[in-house]
Amino acid sequence: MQTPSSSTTHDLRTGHRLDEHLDDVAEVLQLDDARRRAAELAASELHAWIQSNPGLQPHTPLLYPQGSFLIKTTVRPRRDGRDRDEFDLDMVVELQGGWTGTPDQLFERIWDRLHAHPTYGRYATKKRRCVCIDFPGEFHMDVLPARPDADRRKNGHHTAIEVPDRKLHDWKESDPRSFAAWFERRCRERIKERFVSSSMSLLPEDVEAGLGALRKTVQLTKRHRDVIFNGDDDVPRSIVLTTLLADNYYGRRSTYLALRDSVERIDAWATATNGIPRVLNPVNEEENFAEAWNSESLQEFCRFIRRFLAGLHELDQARGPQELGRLLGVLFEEDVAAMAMKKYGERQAELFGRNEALYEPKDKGRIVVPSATAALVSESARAVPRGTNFGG
Amino acid sequence: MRQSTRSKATKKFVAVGSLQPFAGGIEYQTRIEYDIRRAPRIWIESPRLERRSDEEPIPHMYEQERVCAFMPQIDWNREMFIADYVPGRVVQWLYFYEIWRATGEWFGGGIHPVVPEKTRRLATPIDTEAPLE
Repeated sequence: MQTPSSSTTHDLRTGHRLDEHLDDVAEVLQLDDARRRAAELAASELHAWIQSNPGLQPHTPLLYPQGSFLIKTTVRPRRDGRDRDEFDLDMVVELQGGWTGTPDQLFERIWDRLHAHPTYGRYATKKRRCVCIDFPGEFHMDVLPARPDADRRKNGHHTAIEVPDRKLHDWKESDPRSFAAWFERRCRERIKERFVSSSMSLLPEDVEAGLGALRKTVQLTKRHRDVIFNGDDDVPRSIVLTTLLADNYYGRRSTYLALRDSVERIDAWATATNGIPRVLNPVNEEENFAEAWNSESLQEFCRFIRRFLAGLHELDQARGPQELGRLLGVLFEEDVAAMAMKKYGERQAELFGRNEALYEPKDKGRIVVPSATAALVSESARAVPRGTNFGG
Repeated sequence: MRQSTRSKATKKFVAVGSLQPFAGGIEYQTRIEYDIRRAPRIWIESPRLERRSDEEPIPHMYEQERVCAFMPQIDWNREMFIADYVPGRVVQWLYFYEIWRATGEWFGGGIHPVVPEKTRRLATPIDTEAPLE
């Protein structure tokens, strides 16, 4: 994978005029606060329900989030060509005390308990590795039964687990908490690297902003995938996209530049590799997240990435909000783009209302709002005169 | 504004120029006409301003022809300098026009004059551009 030839902290903090629009899109797509709180409450309830079962209690069950729910990269799901309200939230119920029975038995045990819940039990269904509980209008919770992976834990993988696979009637290795820790750690490392050779001090807000930018690149890429593939089976897996994006993130705070640069690097990597590249699990090198890739699906992937990159470049050429809204619609779907542009409009209304808008009389009246963007303001910039639009 | 002429016949001051609300964005050829008896009047000559649909006329215009970026008898008075006031208002209007085109909502604030149904039928529309004296 390529590394940037020059790293400056100025680069790292530089914003881009498209950042606010991509941030608006990400905000429209992500798990809203109300749903997140509801999910946390539901998880609490399920946790208590499992723990209070006398049969399970001695195994010290622990319920915790995994996947995009844990690393905060959820996006509103899209199924059958439509956006849905119910987010997919992944949880693990780990019997910390161990399980000496078969994988199928573990699954059935957890299934029995969840299915017996007076309120939620009727919404439970069995999937290959998890019990899916459908909270209507809210979210789907995929609860994965698990036991500690004793062997891997002996070798220092303190959070490694084994998960029953009902199809193979066997255990599958997993380590979601390690992956989540890697995701954040990798991000922090990359940001720190950029500061090492400079005289500027790394601030906590640099790390937070960087994590935010990385999360948004994942959300936006997953969304674009959902729009492009629209329910196809052979979609690039979220875990593959997440790993590649984290691996190719070099600390930029700007959502647009972080996304464009990462996608560019992934494009270069995918096309440069001889044969079928692997996307190794960074916390378990024996696992290749992209093991299902063949030359066809790899081609699909490359086409997807290349097309995304072209779309991102095109976005930068947009001449004004109308074209921008249209291009955002192509990338992320029209309704989402429309909601994002409305957020932008509302923000402008507020900024102008607070008299924070300027215009450049010597530059064809160009509007600048210094408090909102990184745009440069000349000395001849003036406040937009007050008045009330009328007529009609 | 690039040029201005004083037309002797009609005693009118005309200024034309280019306004570009968004960096790298669309440039609007704008014409401001001023005759001392009224508030300045503004046309966007090119590109053509467009409705979003038949049912969605452009907000804050006179007869879908002239931009209305201020209230003539309230925001404007003859002591004011056109150059200081009008271009800034028009570019603000164009900014929100573009956002309206993108979203269907006018975020620039303003008022649409409401003519009560009865008077609309019985009398001519209120002339907000009546001479200032």
